[in-house]
Amino acid sequence: MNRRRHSAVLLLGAAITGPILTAADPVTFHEQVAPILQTHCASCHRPGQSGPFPLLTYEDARKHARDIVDVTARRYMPPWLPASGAHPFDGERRLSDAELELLKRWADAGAPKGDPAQGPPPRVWPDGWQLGTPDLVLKLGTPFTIPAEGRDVYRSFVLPSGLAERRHVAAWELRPGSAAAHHAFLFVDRSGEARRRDALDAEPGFAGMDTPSGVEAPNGHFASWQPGAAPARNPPGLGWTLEPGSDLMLQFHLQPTGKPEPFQPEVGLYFTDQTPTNRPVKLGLVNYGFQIPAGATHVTAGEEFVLPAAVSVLGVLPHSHYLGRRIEARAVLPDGTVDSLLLIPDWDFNWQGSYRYRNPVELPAGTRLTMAVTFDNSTNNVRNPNAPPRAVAFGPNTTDEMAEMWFQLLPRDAAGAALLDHALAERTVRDHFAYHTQRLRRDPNDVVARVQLGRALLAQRKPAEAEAEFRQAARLHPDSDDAQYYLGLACRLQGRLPEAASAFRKAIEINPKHARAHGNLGLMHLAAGRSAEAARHLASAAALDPTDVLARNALGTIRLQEGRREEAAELFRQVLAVDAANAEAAKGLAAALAPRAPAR
Amino acid sequence: MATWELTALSGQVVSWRPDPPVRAVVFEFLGVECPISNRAQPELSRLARELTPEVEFVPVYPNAGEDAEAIRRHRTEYQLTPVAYRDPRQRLADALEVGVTPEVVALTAGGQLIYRGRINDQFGGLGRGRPAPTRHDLAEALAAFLAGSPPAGVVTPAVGCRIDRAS
Repeated sequence: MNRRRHSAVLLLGAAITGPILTAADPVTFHEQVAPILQTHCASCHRPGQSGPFPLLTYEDARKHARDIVDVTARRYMPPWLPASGAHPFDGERRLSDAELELLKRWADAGAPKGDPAQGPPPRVWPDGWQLGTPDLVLKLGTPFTIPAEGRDVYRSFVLPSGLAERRHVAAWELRPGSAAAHHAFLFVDRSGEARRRDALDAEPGFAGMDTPSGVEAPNGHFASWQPGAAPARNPPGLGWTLEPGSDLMLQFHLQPTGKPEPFQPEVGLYFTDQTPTNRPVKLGLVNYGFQIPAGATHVTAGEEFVLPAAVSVLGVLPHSHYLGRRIEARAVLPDGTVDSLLLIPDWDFNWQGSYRYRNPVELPAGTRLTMAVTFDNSTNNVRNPNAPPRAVAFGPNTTDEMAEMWFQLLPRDAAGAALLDHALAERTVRDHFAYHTQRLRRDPNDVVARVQLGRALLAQRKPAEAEAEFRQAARLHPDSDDAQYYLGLACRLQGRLPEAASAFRKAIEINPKHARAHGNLGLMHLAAGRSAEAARHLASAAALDPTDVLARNALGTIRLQEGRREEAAELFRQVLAVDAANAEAAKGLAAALAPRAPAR
Repeated sequence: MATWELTALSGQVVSWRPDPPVRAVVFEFLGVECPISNRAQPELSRLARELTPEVEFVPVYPNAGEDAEAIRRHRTEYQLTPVAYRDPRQRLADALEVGVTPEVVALTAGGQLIYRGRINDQFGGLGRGRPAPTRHDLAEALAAFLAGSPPAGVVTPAVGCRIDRAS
């Protein structure tokens, strides 16, 4: 009998009814094991890649036979966290039960070699970039040295794009060039904040797990990387946009390898001329309020959101730290049917990333999206960063926790997109409130969180409650210009104008360059008919903030009344440069340029 | 003083014995390809530097499939001292009840067990680990012994790569 065919028949049987090989059927490296390793393992376990040793030859595999059985049986390898479910993902890397059984039988039999002639030919991988030559390659200028010893390293690196014009990105590929890179996220920074953080010390990049404010994931997209994950092009119409002058920021989780590692990652960008036509949005279900007592084994943090419009779910990104053990996302349809969108039975921070559905999941309006993260804060959790365990809550450090599930959603039409945007904006305000409330629980003297909490209350149209927060922030930090400024805003919104003016003046006293305090004070003077004082503050606001449209329009109107038409025209032009559709500025400019009425 | 038969990288079997002022010996079982072993290496090297001459660290490579050349390359790549020993038939590993790399066995100069097991508690299984160790078990055991405690014979579970045994 042809032995190869024999094995194939057995495999087929095994896939359907479970392993049916008997002790009489030998499992050998060349016949059964090499095809599994080639398909599922060797993309990383080969020289120059991230795996710690190669798994190409018989000798490679024989040396590690028992460990291979151990890590595959526990499904630690190949690394793939989601359980198989109704909605398969792109790039799934799961071994079948039949394949696991073959590996075990092979190791149990003493890892026999078999006949090389019966094995598959060596697999060939493309050299270099997997998606072909990129349109733009950005490489870290100066290598960072990963220390030989010590705790895991969380570090972000800034790569200036140098783009002179807007480009649409169809795909990106990361080449970390080191086995120490465990996972990464790509961000875009137009604010310059990442550069500023990077410049604080001489070392390339900056430490920490947090993302500086102003630094954002590519609009509407997840951009995650982990070893062995194949880069993929976005479907047509689903690219993301990179504005001129943007920086890329790569946030890395690096694991020391026992020797100093020079680290100089590079990113390849693949552009498309096609303007993105589909605008996906990201919905984050984030719980900020959980408390995990020391030693607790089953604390669950959940969140939910009801879809105001029908959507296609394109992808999902779970996030938790070292205490998260089980993560699940579900859709509860309007008829009550429950559909599991993602189940991770054994969460592993080291292998976090995003997942793209092979076929988008279509959900009707009224569907309730839910997520739940279950934590184990006991000593049984071998990943617990605290020994002995201590009470843990939401926070940015590895010893804190997070419970997040992000969905990439594509609304069906413009009306659906508008409904979704509105609901997400409300949710964002609610989340800011919850986030800053949690920050204040950690540190009641956190003046930034206090001010931001007040701002969330202002956005929820609760100026009296907001005022209380700003007053407390001002008491805690008498030198906080923002506390005074927002206190003024809260008073102004409640019609208490003298108090508002006094607070704005204090903000300016603390920080003479507080543009918005000048702007508000100017507008208040203008409303009260004091145009000279109004003009003084509005001019300051305009000079300090090139995007302040309100101050420019108001000042332009004053200048028109004063007959200083050229100055007025210039102010209105500046508004139109920022906001071409600004009707008040267009009207003002027309008036400023109109022929003068003949003198009587 | 206990005497040990060790196989040098040259293949020569040497009779080795700790001499004063050495009070404790640490056999460190290492694997060239094991990522957990390699990640623990700097802590072992640091302890060896800090505790010399009272404690002597003896690197032993027990995997059957690792030849002297691979071990020399490993010593160079990780900037380790050149002297190391092989145990390709696991005679020493079996005598000391060692099953994985990295695993350490600390003995008094007379051969009494001070400590056997993991170096620290960073890993709880292959690929299951904390961002940093919370206990440095070997360092604690050696410190207690050097401070005058009797050899306690503490055993912890070692986590790492199974030793590739000669068939």
